[in-house]
Amino acid sequence: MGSGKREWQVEKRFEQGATGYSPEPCSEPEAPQGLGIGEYEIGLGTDGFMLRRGGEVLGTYKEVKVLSPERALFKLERGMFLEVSLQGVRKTLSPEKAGMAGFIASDGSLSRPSAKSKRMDFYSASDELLDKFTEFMKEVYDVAPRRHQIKNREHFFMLDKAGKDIVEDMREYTHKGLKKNYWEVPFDYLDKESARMFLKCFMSGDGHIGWYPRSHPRVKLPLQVRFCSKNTEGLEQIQQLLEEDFGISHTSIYFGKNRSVLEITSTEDKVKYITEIGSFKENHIEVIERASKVIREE
Amino acid sequence: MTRTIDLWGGDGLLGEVQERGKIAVGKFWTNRTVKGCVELQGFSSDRGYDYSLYGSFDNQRKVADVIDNILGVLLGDPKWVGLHLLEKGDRSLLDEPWAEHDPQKLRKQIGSNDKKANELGLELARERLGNKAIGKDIYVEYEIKVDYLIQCNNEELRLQVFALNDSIDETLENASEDAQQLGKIIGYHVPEVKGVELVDVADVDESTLMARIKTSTE
Repeated sequence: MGSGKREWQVEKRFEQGATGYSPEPCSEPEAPQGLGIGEYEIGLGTDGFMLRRGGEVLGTYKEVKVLSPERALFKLERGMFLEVSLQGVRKTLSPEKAGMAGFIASDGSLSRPSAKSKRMDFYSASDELLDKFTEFMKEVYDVAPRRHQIKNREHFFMLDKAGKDIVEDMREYTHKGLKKNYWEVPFDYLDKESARMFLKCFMSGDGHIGWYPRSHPRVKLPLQVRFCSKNTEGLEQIQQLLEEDFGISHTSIYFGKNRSVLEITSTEDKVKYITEIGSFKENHIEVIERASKVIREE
Repeated sequence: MTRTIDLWGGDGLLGEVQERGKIAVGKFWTNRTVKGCVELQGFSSDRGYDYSLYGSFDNQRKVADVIDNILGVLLGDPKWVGLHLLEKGDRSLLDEPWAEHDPQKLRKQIGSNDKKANELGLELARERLGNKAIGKDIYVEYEIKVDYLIQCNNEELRLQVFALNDSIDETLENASEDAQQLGKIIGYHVPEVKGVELVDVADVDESTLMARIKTSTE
């Protein structure tokens, strides 16, 4: 899966600044004017913040966040940012949209039940995850998904053809051109914050952070940190993302009876995962708190 | 030859699976089919294990009841539901030399397998690592399976739980608790470990290594 090496993909995305953007305005301006980032310049105009290069106005935006003298994010529609940095300009997913992508890759699907309808499902037995998905959905698309309860404690989120454009929008980043139930990490559209949210949401749905002192007494930190999926290529991409963006390199993938498993193997990297990324799942959070206490006491 | 049909893989509502099962049986059950088996694969994120739940039927009309039974108590998040159609001579997915359920004997058998897997795994890891193993603590990791036969609503269900051996005590406790939610545990099956294959050796910390192995049974 994927389309070539990550370096090439990033380079390709960064070149897009030259083609120009015409995003819709988002909210009131509140950033300084006259900032230069590489060959780009951010200035305040009458309709909002202007992004210029060599005197040419590339776009006008209502909201901009200047994160450092070398990086700024312009807010676009539907959970997207236009990132301006020394490398150039590219579109990135907001953390909320990246979180939705992580949730769908783990416990959801984007499907086409019939020629005319498209559907987004997110299913989970955990209320905290359903609530988080709803929160992100409202933030990104201003839509509250319908909740279905199946059997004793199963919940579903479903968007049918009324949300066709939303499904198509999400497919663009993680499922485009892939066979049913396959997804890929949207490398081209992730900055570190959105990468963190993608991983955190995937872990919440299809990962495990467990604490096993009884079975594993010889190890100081009897912690399991694992991601599981039938999509082995997807897990390999998660492995790459962990290493490139968070320096978590001691990992291995093994094939279980039903699914593949990506396991973080070293204690140092497990600690890095739980402190820098984490999970939204309640019982994962409890384990993280317990492990953190042991780490503090050492 | 056994034919397997996907009924659900996260697409659409789980409530549609019964209808999909009836359609699949109507379409693919032939005069050579002698038995059907529904399999649900799921993941319990709370427990940290994958599981498979099987229920079988020999009459086409019973497919909806078996699916209803299997979906009756969900142990975690379902990931896949499939239908296996078996012909004469195919190995049934519920037939194993089941031993009458006895938690102590089950624990003992798993413990004995664990001891053997550890010994063989350590031997292989030391052989591969040579001098690099000197002064290092090595622990062995592999996937264990806990396999129960359960009586549920006058039908038999098979529950297989797959977890890592480094959570063996917690897994046995949790799997037994989950199985009892489904019905009465009437049997268990623990095949004896015959051999192991070393898959990988990974660093845990400066003084510890983890040897991942794969076990083979009789």
